[in-house]
Amino acid sequence: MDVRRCTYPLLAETTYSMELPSGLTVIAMPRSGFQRYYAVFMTKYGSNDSQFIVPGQTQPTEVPDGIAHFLEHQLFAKPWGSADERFAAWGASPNAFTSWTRTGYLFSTTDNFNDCFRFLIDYVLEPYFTVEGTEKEKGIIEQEIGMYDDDPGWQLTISLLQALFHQHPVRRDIVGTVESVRQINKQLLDDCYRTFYHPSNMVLVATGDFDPAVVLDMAAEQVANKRFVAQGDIGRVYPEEPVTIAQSVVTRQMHVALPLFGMGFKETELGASGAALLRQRAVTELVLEAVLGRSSELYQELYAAGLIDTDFGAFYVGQPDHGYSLLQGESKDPARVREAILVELQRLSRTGLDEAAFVRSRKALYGSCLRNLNIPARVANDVADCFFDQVDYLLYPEVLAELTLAEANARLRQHLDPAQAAFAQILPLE
Amino acid sequence: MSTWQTVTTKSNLQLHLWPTEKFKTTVLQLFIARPLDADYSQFALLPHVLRRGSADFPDALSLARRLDDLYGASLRVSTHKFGDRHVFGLELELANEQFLPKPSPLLREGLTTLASLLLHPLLESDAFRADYVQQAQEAQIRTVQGIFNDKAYYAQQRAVAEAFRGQPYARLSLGAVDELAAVTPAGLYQFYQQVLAQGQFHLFVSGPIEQEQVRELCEQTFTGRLGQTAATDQTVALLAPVETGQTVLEKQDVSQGKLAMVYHTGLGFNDPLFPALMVYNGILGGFGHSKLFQNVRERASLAYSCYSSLLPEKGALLVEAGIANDKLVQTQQITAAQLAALRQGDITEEEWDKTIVALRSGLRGLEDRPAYLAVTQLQRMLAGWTLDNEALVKALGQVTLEQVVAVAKAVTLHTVYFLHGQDQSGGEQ
Repeated sequence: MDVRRCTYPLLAETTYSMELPSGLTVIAMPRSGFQRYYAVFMTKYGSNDSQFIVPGQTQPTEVPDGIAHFLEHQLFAKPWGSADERFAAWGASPNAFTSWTRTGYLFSTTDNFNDCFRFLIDYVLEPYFTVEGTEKEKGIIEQEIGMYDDDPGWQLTISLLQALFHQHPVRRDIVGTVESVRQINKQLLDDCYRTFYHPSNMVLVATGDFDPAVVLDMAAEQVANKRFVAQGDIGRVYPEEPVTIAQSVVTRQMHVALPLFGMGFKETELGASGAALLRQRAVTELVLEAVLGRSSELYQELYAAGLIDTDFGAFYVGQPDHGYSLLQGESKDPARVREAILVELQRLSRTGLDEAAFVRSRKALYGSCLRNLNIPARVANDVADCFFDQVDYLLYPEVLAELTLAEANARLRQHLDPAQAAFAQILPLE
Repeated sequence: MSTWQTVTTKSNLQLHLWPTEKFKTTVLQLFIARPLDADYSQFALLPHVLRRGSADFPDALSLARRLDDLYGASLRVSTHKFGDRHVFGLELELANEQFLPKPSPLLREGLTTLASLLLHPLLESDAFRADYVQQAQEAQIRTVQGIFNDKAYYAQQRAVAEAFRGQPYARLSLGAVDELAAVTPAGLYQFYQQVLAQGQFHLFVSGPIEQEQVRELCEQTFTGRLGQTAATDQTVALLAPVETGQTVLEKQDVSQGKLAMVYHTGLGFNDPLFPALMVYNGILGGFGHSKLFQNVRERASLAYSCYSSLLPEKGALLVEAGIANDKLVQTQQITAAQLAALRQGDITEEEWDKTIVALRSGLRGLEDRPAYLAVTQLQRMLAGWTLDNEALVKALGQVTLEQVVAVAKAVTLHTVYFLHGQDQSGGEQ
């Protein structure tokens, strides 16, 4: 098996990757001098994947919402106990997460990296689903659903996504609903696991002060034991989603001291992957920074007027099949904030961003990228996540350097378009 | 592992340098230390006024733009209470020059910005700008009042205030609401000048740096005379033991009770038994495998959160737990049983090994977070402690059971504080 070596001179970093016979890609990123080791084992499977075509079949399979997250919980269950206890004995901290598009299993440790790494591969690739375990998990997940139902910040995000999207599954909560979770059974878990937890649909990223060749060999050895049969591509089925937004204003009430507010902008340029997608992400983040970041006139005006605080921020999500920008914060007067943002967007679509704002925002993002690199775990997560869209996360600084002012202004007009914007607020209960 | 080189500049600034290639940024942390005395509220407020702007960057927009021009430099204020010393930090994290797409004297400009905020404040008529002081006051008062809403933190502060009643350590490092409200722009400016004359000034710099270059830049950017280089091994009064502990109960409309108990240990940073005290605390309640977590939470299901921590400069230890309103006596009994077990050396091999691994792992993990490491280093230096991380990791491996038992025998209850939502009459189950 060939080891592919990629160097990133701007960052003085190198990655070593290998595609195993089973189709799994393993990426080792040595970080000299760091005391902590980290690894994440990720699958291209999330809550959005409730409709899919199993490789070799022609008809789509449809499953209840919440299985990806349910599977994440259940993978820790083993005949001898829970997988996280094993990590604790080695002094390691394990965790896992499910998003709309990915599920990840990870650990962080200062000792016993080899043991932890081999075990990570084992416990994710050797499931133990039982009827009893599945039923027991339902109660726990029901409680988790309740917890998110009580979280105003999360509910604001969900409200915005529901306002932006008519049909796309991203408008549905990652954990599913109480009703959908009740429909989950061992057979469904087995079927979804078999389809999505195939090494060819996964990536394994490790980082730390290690010899990358040793890490890659360990992974190859550990996976070879499992004897996987080759599998074709999984068909991803998403409903027809109109270009337009579903609802322009959403208002809800919850137990909050100060109102929460947010705006979402729907992505209309879909289908990008690889370098084009990375560039789309970079230019959008630059535009958001320039319009709404701490150096923008808008931010300082709103802050000085006491209408926003330092919690205020924006981010962009760009996937090949869907995307959006969200800005969120707390305010005593959300309507005024919305008004100010719309007025500023109107002004900027006319005048465009000036050169100084463009240069400054690019510098700010560059610095932010460097700060991120000080946290190897975060970098590993980003590298893994980006891998599935053929995006090379570590090329971000180079792409930033290539962007132009004209490009940023075109993107501003095209993406931060009030016609594609939804506004949501969560007000205190009377 | 990390080693800090210390050099004092001509201006009396104590410079601590850790050159390391593993990070992409240079972290600058300017700390000012002074006694935790009657002016503590002014000292708590001061950095928030200084970071608001300077003569060179007179408003929030110009300062934000300056920082973004420095490749998105992040500026932070921190406040600390280290024994009877009060510290605030102005911290700037800068992209390191070697990773920039084109050359830029970022380190010099970052140091100049920091020096500007500290030494060229924005003044009007021999006072700080009134509206900046007012905004900082209001924000700080909100922060202090916000503690009331974080019931666990509130209980912790109340326990400390009761245990150290009448002593400097009882003070909250963020200041007192009435004193903060009473600060005036002119008064604060006068106090600032006193701080410049009498405080201890430390600058920690870590990252891919060249020591001589940093020293030279600091000599050029931090001019004038900066405070005193006072001796670091000031004797701090340790918490005195008491015959019988005191109990303080407070009732509020809370659904869960917050218990915070202060114990006397008699051991400060410099005591040779301090590593053994760290092991003691780890076994008692530092981690998920610890006695308190396992017995109060896992076995008795009395708490979700239950742990112990050290107040290292003051020779004290805190036990905290969130428990049901009517479970005070039961929790105290289980806690007392764990302390008794430790006095008898009743520690399993698993408890011991997991604790040593976790303590060492924590110290090693600190090495990957330079900002936190610098704060820890400052804390140790101010206490006159000379063990660095590497030496401490080694020392932990040499701690014996006898030493931990000796520590356990010196630990006595001093103050119990319980915040609860229902009447606490005697004789609960």
